[in-house]
Amino acid sequence: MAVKPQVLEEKEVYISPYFPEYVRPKIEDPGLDETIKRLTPEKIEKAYQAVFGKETARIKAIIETCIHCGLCAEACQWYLSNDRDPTYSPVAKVKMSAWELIKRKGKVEPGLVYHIARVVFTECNICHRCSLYCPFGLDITFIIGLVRRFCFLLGVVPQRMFEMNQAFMATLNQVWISQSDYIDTLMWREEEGMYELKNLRVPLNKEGVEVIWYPLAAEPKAGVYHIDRIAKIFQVAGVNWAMVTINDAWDSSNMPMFTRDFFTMQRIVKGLYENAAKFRAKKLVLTE
Amino acid sequence: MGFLESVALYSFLRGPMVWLAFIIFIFGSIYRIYTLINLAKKEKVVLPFINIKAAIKSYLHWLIPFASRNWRLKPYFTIFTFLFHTGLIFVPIFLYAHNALWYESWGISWWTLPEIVADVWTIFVIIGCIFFIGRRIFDPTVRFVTNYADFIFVFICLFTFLTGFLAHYQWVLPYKAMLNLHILFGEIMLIAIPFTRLTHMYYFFFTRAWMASQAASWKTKDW
Amino acid sequence: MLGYKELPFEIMHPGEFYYELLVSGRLKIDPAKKIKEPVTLQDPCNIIRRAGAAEKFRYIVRQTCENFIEMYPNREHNFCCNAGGGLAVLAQWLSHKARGNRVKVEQIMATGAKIVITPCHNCNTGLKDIIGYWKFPVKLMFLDELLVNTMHIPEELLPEEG
Ligand code: HEM
Ligand code: HEM
Ligand code: SF4
Ligand code: SF4
Repeated sequence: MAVKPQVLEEKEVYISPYFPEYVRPKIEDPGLDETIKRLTPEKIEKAYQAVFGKETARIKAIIETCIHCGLCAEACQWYLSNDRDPTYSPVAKVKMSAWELIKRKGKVEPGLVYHIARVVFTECNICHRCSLYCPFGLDITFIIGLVRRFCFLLGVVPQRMFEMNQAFMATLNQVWISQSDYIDTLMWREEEGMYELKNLRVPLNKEGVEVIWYPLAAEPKAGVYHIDRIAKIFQVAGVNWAMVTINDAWDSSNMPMFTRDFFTMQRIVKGLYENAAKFRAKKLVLTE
Repeated sequence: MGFLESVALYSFLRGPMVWLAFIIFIFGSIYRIYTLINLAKKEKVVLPFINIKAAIKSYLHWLIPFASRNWRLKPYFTIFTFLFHTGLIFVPIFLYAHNALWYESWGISWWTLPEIVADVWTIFVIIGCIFFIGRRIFDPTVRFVTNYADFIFVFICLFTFLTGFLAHYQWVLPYKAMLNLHILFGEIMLIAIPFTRLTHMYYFFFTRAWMASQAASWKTKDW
Repeated sequence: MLGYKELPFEIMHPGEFYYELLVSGRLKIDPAKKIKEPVTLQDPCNIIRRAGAAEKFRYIVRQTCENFIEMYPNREHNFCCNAGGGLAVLAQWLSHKARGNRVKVEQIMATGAKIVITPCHNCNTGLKDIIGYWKFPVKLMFLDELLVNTMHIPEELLPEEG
């Protein structure tokens, strides 16, 4: 099963000064390249203390149990896809980020922070597969998540991810849709849909429904056909359902989870749950 | 060779050092387990979350060769690691020579392995050690994450079994010297268990329990 | 999500809800509309590995498609689409991401499927990127599209002609 890659677009190469085995194409991302220029040793150490400073059972058990056997490598699609490049194995990702931070007690220079951010943000999907392959069941994603939080506190986050997080902070959705735009979109879809299915309804803010559907922000923005389809399915099946437009809490994607911005994360979850409680829905259907 | 063979070294290793090694091993282990559980208590989400049933299922799948997908993916590794670990635990406990020593010291003894079985098993453990060392040198993935400590762990196991075996057959070095070396390495190993990553012997059960419970709460399995 | 342990409502993925609709017979599939081309199913990590919905998705797919081929490995051992963990939005890193998931392409190729069903938006994005990069001729389909195309629509709901 050989698939031929296209030519590599990136000509320049980034070789990590810390781990010479780590060779990657150079990719520009202001979220990483620019932000590390603002870092100071104190800031880095403070962020380190905030995340790893307190010894916790989970960090301790994970770091001290790992016997460096490399069995988790078999799990990672990054590793398998890159011709078994050792620097893509899950344990290598932990080595290049958390071990290095813990070994140096957070006294690291910005260059290493860049390297770490690159590893944890662009080479791990937090997919949990490696935990099923480690004989100890070590929760590698938990460590990667902590390191992501460390980078987030320093503001070293790939630009696109950071922007999205800001969108959430401001509007609680991913794509900067305001409340009225959202309502307009839903009504417009209802009108259009009526040509295809008689009496198609997109009920808004109805009480006592069986189901509330929270879309993903991309749906009203770029994939409106999803709204049509869901409405049709529910209509045909005779489900008593509704969508919620109040309080801005309707985007179910919760992207700040990925940068471990716990505060925004909580706000989103809370908003969604409270709305559901208000309309006494029996079920919440979340796209994602 | 004089010192290695000396009775003085032997009586030191067979006397105070044995006590020291066992006391450190036992209390160190209790301490390690206790501190981990204590820390876990502080992290309020950990302990209430543990699902015993899922944990036991997960132990079974990972302690039986080829019962988990990753064991099946790496058949050679699985065979070696199971021969290695079972030998590491059962041979010293059920070895005739060790039992004679228990009997001498405390008047207790139990069933022992036939000599031939013990010998073959010991050889398997030695082969397992060589396999692990080979992996650490020649497999680039493993080499990238290996540091000196990892080699030292394997070498401690290797030397303990090798010297015990050679002493039994009185090869290479005079019996006394080899035996002294063997006891020395055995004691180093016991002391090392609670303080190094060899604690995985206990932590295995905690980390697996945690992952198994998480997997159970997601309605999947972790093997 | 702590502090929200006792919720007065269930939370589910649309796929799980569709499953309920199909099993309870509220939604019926029109046998004539079933999809004939070979299809395969991408197991989304978050929903399979963390919510155990694998069998429900398979039920839906079997109901609506005639020729369903599993990827291997599948279910909780599936490979990630490489858009999880927030990587979906990293446009600058697109080819890096696509190179990082050659196994997925090989996996899909091995099934010989023409349509990949992606119950998750992230997966859809991820696979779209990969397919684009590797120039790989398969179609992607969401579960809702699958159902809309194959469900039996009662007479009285059909729009009037004209
Ligand atoms: C702590 C003190 C220890 C003492 C005093 C001790 C003593 C001995 C003695 C007297 C022998 C017999 C040599 C012979 O047959 O003439 C022996 C053999 C052996 N010991 Fe130990 N030992 C100790 C620890 C260990 C440990 C921790 C291990 C392994 C984990 C171990 C593994 C072995 C093995 C594999 C043999 C050789 C078996 C064979 O092939 O015959 N010993 N030991
Ligand atoms: C109940 C007890 C134990 C369990 C469940 C256990 C489990 C494991 C597991 C799962 C691994 C990972 C990779 C592999 O399978 O080789 C491992 C590796 C290892 N264990 Fe153990 N272990 C136990 C006791 C011990 C003891 C007592 C020692 C030695 C003093 C030991 C020494 C090692 C070494 C040296 C490795 C590294 C192998 C390598 O280089 O890849 N283990 N153990
Ligand atoms: S969680 Fe990250 S490291 Fe682990 S298998 Fe998935 S992508 Fe690889
Ligand atoms: S499989 Fe587990 S113990 Fe082995 S290197 Fe990976 S994380 Fe460490």
